[in-house]
Amino acid sequence: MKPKILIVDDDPGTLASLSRAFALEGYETATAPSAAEGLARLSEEHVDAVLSDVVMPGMTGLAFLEALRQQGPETPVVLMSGQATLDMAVQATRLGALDFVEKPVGLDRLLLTLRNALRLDRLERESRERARYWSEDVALVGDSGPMKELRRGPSTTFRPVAPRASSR
Amino acid sequence: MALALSRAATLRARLLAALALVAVVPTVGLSVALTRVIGRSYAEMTDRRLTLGASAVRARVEQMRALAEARVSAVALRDLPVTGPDGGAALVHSTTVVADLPVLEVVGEDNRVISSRHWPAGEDLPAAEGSFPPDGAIRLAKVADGYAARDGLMVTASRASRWRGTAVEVRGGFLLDEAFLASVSTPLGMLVGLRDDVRGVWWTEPRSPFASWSTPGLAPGNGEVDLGGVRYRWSAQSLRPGLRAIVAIPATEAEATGAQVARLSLTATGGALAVAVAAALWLSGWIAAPVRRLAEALGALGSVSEHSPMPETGSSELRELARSFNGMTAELRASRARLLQAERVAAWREMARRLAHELKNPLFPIQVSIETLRRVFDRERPAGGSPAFATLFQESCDTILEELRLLRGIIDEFSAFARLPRPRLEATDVNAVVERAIALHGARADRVTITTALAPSLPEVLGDRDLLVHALGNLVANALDAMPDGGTLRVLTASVVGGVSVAVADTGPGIAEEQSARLFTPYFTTKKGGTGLGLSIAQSIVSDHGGRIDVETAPGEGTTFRLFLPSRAAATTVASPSRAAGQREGDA
Repeated sequence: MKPKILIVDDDPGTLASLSRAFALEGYETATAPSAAEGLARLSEEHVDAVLSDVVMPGMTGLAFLEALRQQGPETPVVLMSGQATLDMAVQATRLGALDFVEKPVGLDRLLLTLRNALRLDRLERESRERARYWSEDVALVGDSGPMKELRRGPSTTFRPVAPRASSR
Repeated sequence: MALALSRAATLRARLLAALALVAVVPTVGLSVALTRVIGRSYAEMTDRRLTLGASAVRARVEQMRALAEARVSAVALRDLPVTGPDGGAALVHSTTVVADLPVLEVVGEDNRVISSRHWPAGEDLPAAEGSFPPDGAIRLAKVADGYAARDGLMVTASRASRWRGTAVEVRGGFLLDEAFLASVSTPLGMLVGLRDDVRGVWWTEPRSPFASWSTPGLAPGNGEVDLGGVRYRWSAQSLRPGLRAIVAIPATEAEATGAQVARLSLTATGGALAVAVAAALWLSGWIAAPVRRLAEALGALGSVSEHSPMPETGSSELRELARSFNGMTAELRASRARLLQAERVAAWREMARRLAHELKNPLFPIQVSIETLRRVFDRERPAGGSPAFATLFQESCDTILEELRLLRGIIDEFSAFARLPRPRLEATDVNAVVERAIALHGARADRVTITTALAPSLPEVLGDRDLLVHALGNLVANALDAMPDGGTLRVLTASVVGGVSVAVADTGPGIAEEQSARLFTPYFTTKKGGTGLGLSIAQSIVSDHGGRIDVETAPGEGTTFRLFLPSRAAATTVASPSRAAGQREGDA
């Protein structure tokens, strides 16, 4: 299943171009021209990651992030801004943004950031599941290499979080 | 302005009126009083003169009576000569003093006239008939007039004597006739007349206007009368009961002097008035002119363009006023210029901020689209397509991306300009700022000689050292760029009123006038490859410090940028409106 990315930006050109770029890289995309619409989309459907502008009319990206966290889902969020300040970045991190990029950012860099975010999120989720699994006190039987590895914890077993981009 | 002028005019008119009043009122008052006093005293003097004249007439009559008495006595003391057969008729002619007494007679015991000189025909007539009575000194008697006789007024004396053994009386005196009156009136310079109030007749000189005076008052004293159309002032004194001596002079003669005095004082008043008005005109102009100039200058304050300082002339108070006014307007203009510059800077910053924002937004999707295109192209190239197109595509992408990068660089500079940090103000030594700025940029100046003249004891300014170095560095860099073929860069600091001045002077080609007007406009540049923000940034920083930058340029000779920073004391009162744009950024 393709990871689904929600893009929130007040500039239609940005929404369209990013949508196209992400789709070509094998993502499913959804777009919202405002933070409020983004929140609405998120309450209706599951997305794997959110990429949101910060400076928007109405609700800002930061307020959007805060509202999202209160709403519950721990969807990974990457914020981007054309008028980035240190203050803004600090606040974004404190609110739980996985990353903060400055517009205009190179497409390669943006895709990398997105991939990292998805991977990090997946890792976290796996780690939580594994912790829950182990906390249920289920004895794992078996003495094979992989089983031993499994018992050592969630630090070494990975799967790619997204299809590899063709090298360039 | 018109209002102010009309006020000045009113002030001038009032001053004029007040000064004229002050000058004219006493002059007119004095001249009226003088005319009245002189007129009155002249009338009094005339009356006194007339009184004295009348007294003189009486005294003269008395004197003649005394003379008559003396002569009659002289005749009577001797025995009267006894002459020939004529008897008494020639008696008076034989006396030795005949010539000296025009009136002379000898009266016998029976009161008959024995001999008469003035009326020979009256001999042997009783003395009472037309002859004078023995008592009165002044009287009427018959006097021979050719072969006739007439009444003659005379002053006489009498003495007893003896003649041929009988007692006789010698009586003699002088005629109070026209000759007598003429002898009195000439030295007195008056009309003289004798009035017989009993008979109502005049004794006067020939053609005397008194003849027409029919009813002179009976009382002695002074008065005025109109005789034949001429007014006379007169004075009368009694000589004996029923007879008065009256003297008179024309009233016009007396009044002529008064009129002359009045005329003179009128002329003086007029002259004084003219002089006073002229002086008042000058004085009021002199007083009002600086006030009017002040009013005009105040009016002119409304327009920024014209600045003509008030001449510091006139009285010390006005000079002081003009000086403080000039100081005030200079301060006002300077602060207005600073404010204007600060406002302009704020406006440019706001524009730069919007421009950066608006340009940056579409830049991102353009860039993303190009990069996406290239990714797809790279991925699918092995599938087909001509190598020529591949090259064209790659090159086009490169060009677009490169241009985007340049564009982004410019936009970043705009952003930096729009978001110049607010200065952290602390006591700063301007000389140190100058030295730092020169040290930063001086290395580039391989063909330019840099000289500095730093004033040794500059007042400290409140400023952000780094920002000021940035601003001054931009000026220094500009100056160096203006002299690619070498020259001299002079940097001077000086203490000026209210702050510190830094001059950065180059010997470059100068700046054309139409360009110098736009010099501080952002994105205007005369240099190849300049963004046109250097001066704007410098101005922006200086403006944030409450200062200003001016430029003087002479094509062919060089350009001098003059930077003014208020001293620590002056800076605390200067607000910096250019921050307003920066503060609004967070709201966007």
